[in-house]
Amino acid sequence: MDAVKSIKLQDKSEKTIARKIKWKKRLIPFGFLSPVLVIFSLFMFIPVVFALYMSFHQWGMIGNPEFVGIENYVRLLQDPLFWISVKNTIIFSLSVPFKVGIALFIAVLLNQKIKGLAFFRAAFFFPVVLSMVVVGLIWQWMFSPSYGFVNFMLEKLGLPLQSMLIDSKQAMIVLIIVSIWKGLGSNLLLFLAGLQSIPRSVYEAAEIDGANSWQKFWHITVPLLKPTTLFVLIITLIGSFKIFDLAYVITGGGPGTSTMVLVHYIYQEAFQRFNMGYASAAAYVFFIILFILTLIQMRMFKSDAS
Amino acid sequence: MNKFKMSLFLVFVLLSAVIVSACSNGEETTKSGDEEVELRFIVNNDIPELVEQVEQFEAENENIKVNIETIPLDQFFEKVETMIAGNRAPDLLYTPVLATKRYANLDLLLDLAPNLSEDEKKDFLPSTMVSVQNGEKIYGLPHFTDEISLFYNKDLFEKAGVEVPPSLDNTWNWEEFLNAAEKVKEANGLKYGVSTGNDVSQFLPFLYQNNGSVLNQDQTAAGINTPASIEAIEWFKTWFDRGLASKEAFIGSEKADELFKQGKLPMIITFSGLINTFNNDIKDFEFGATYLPKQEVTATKLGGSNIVAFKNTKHSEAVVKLMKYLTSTEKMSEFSAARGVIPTRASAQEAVDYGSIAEDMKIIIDEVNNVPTFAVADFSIPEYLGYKAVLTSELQSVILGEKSPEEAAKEMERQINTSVLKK
Repeated sequence: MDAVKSIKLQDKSEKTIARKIKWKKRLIPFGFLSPVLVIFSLFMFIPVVFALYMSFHQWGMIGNPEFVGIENYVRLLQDPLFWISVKNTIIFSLSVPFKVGIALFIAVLLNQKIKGLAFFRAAFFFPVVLSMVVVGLIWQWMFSPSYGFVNFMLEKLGLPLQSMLIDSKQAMIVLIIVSIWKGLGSNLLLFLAGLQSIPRSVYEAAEIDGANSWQKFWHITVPLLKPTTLFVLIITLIGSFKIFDLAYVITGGGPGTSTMVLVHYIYQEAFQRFNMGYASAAAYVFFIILFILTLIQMRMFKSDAS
Repeated sequence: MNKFKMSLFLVFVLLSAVIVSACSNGEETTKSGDEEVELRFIVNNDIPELVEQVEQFEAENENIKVNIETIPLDQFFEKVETMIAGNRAPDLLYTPVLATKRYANLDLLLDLAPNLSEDEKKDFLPSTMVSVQNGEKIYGLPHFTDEISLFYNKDLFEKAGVEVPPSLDNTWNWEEFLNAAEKVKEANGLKYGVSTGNDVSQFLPFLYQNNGSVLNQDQTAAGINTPASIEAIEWFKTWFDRGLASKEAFIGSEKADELFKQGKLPMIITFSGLINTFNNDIKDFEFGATYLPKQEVTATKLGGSNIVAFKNTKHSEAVVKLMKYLTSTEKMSEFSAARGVIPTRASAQEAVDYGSIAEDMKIIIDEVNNVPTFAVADFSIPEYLGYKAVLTSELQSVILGEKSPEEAAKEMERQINTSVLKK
């Protein structure tokens, strides 16, 4: 009897020890992760949850928030200016396929063995290191009607002068041109890395089968670059939805409201009118839009791949 | 096992870091009993003349140290608001006038009335006190003011044989003003006759001149959708329709002050504070300030800054001392002369010596001292910051012919009521 008991006891204590070790094993990663977790919670998680909470309140940053239910969301969806800013953001984002296409095209060119390769790569990457505000100011000056470089060149070439920045229909085009110029380098870098990971042997096999350059590009490069393309597409799309500084500096949202984008709208509500709750609601709607778009894109590529 | 200890250690370090930082915060606040006093003074934009005077103050008061933190104006409000919301309000704030009411209404500011003598109170100009006074209470001291002014190119005017008005009482009406612009433009073969910059505050004088306003009289709703206001917008549009003003400059793709400095623009409506820049940069021609036109009334828009103190300050005595030092007749007139701005005290306006720009400053001061109070009330409120963007985008649409003045006024009214005033 005693022996049985002691065995049982031993068994029990072994079990608890095993459980203890198991627990410790589970806890260890969290211990190591704790610095990151604390920082992440402080600067990401808590603000994100707080913004959700705020989106149901009226709050001017100082003073006590007042609960208003879904009023902020209702008002938001009824505000024509909000829809204008959504429309403008989408128009701006329509440039994403161009941005990705141009980056891919130039990446393929720069993947060849040509003279001065390093120079070209550096030249295309150069705008990426500039700050958005500097880029904005430079291009505002470039497009300035009476002393800008663009008009100077047009004049030399005997072409009609432009004043795109004071034309509601054309101001957005300026923003798109500038953002293509600014963002090209980083996409290019990603594509180049993707291109270099495609094994040479695949191309060689295709050459033996008699494939021409176009066939090689279409049947090898494009499919094998799909993961990179997906990544670039999502990053560029999210980036283009987040456009603010460029529009803020070059056009300030004008002329009229023709370049007023979503983030500008949120900024204006939050920091010029101190409607923190309302701005939080707008930010959440913005988040949902981005989330759905990303989901759709991932689906599209998945079904394509299968 | 070792790993477990290490991870525990990491958590421990983290916790102790949090505790230590919390304690050190507490220590800072209990230090007030010391003789040495440290003040936090937040200043909008970089103002070397002010910093210099604060340094002089420190030299004269050895036990007071003033730490100045400068924040550029375009980030000013978001940063200051965040500080206040996080219980880190400074002792003193150098703020654009329009923010004063916001902090006063939130009951954050120190009442200075008990520290001012009746003579001192009377010395400050009534128009500048509008932004700091609430009944008997005084929530800040106006430090300087400026306005939207009319500068003109004397050489171009002379060539065209056009005279500028001699006094505030005999100034141009709207029609005469635009005719003068047209005449000077034609006589000199220029592209433009008069322009504003892209800041919508440069349109506001004309709104007020027609007895219009952005908000209604008791500031509870928009007042822009009224015949007087719409008429002002309509008239402003004619500047562009008659080819007198630069759309580019109003929309911001080129700079009116550059055009003026290059001698390509006979008249510019801009901030009076630019007078120093003009004085330094313009070498090829003579320029001067003259009176803005008048329609129903004479009016302009004022700007300027106030010094306010937060009531939670632990050093109210030192704070008041510094505020009074900076707004003393002597220091204020020195500051105003150096910056080309206008003192807010009658005694300082008398004492100030502007040197070579004295004649022009006389005109500017004359205008400042004659702004109707309804106009001052219209822009001396925090909502100004909120409604400015609405005016900007809607006026741009009018100038480009995309909206009629009536449509724009209606949209301004809607946005001001729903978003700025939260009706």
